[in-house]
Amino acid sequence: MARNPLKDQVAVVGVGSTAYGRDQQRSLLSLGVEAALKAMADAGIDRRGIDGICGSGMSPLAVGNAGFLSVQGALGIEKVTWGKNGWLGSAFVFAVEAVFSGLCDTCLVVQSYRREVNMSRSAARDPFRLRASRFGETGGMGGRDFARRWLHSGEPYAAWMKRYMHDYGVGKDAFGLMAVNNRSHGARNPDAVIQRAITLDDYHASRMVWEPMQMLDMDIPVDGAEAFVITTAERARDLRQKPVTVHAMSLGGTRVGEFYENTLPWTENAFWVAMEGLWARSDLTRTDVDLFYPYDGYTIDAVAVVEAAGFCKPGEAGDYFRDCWDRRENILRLNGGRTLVTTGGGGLAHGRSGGSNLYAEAVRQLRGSQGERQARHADSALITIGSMYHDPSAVLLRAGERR
Amino acid sequence: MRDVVPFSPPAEVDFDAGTRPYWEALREGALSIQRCAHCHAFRTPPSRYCPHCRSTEDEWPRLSGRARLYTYTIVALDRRDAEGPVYVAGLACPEEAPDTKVFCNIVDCTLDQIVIDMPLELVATEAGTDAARFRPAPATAQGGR
Ligand SMILES: [Zn+2]
Repeated sequence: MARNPLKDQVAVVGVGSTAYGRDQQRSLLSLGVEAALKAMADAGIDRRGIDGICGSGMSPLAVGNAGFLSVQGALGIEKVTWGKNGWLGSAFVFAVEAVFSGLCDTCLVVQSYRREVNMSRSAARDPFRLRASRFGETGGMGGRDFARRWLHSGEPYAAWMKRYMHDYGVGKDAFGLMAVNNRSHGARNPDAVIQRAITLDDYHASRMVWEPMQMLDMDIPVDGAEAFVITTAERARDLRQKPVTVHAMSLGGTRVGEFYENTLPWTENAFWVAMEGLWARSDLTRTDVDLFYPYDGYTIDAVAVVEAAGFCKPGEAGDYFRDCWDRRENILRLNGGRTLVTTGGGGLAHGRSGGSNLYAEAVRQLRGSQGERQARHADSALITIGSMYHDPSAVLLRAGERR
Repeated sequence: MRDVVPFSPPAEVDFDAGTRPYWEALREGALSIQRCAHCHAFRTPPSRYCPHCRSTEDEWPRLSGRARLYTYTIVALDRRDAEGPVYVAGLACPEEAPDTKVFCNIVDCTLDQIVIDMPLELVATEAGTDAARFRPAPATAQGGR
């Protein structure tokens, strides 16, 4: 076992979400502020009760984007003792670290996402998005030096699908069944942007984008935001919501980092590093997981997380998913039927939010507040967000206070 | 069968100091990747520090241009045209540096010729090319590999 002094010491006490939509005609900041206000109201904490803030954004130039500085300013939070930008799954992890270490007591996490110009044909035609994009190219993919870069971030993931299929002698059923599962859950989620369920045949018939990757392997670009209020487990006792406790966390990293052509072998990619780090710090094991949220920016990410978490052996996800398939509901049920995967529909159905909606859905399920969509078993949730190539997070949450 | 075409060249390539030798070699019809001048380990993509010994001294030897196809993706020029031309983007492992992967464009072939692990050879390209271009190598060029 690795050290894990933060085990069960920090809790999520507030969650807030905007509607998701393809064109909300709103800025990242406006979306982020709405989600933040909802999360604070949900927690019963006003702006004077927030002393730490973590905002989303790949840009170090936080002002103008929904980084922590602009969010703090818009909310009128006069002073914080800790602030930081983060994205994907790491923003949540950073906030828990800050609360646990004492750099702040009650931290706001705000993540806003927008359908950017490179994400769809109609988005590319939108002059507003085109202009906005010129000011956003301070990180990530997109440099024009092709010695380093693929033309689009989807291409290396598609190429990895090809290599996975070659190495393990399998077709695309693992990817397809993951897509069907998420769309089935999305069909039950009134907040999902795409509420039409699909069959495996629909998946295989969908438009080819970067062969072998198809349209239904990709998340749905939308405008939307999520926010969370995170504080100590001790403080959570006095607050209005049933706390959701952070049991263990890990951030994975490998030397190849962002360089997408520096492909590591499948079982050495960053998800394996994150999952090993998580299990080494957790009292729970894979079979204790009730709810599982593997990041689904591309279906190959989700399949990699399933295998990295140890639900099946490398290359066997397709067969495993068939064994776990609930034919009546058209969803996955892992661990002998108990474990649901990506309730809410994730990026493939609810909408693309860098995985922040996976955290939000997990928190609400663990509170038991999801009504008709509430999972029967909801004591623990494993959320793994990020990329096979860079900064994946693995977080294990538990329902209620743990003493 | 769908035509395989080269990447359409960009209006301009953003050189930076770290990748200039790669582009210059390509323009002369050769493949060159970065090698540490201290421990002689090849690495891609170009970077300031050698990850093995942290030396910043590098060299750019000209390679044979023979490589193996690690993986690839097929991309339509027009996604709405399911029968139209495609380009093939992939990763090639150079013969002299089999543990490194070079982003590349596969050309001069039909789609059914392309398989993972196939031998490749560099294609000399005109000035202004946008990535290393490879084509399937004749079987005789496989050597003892
Ligand atoms: Zn070296």
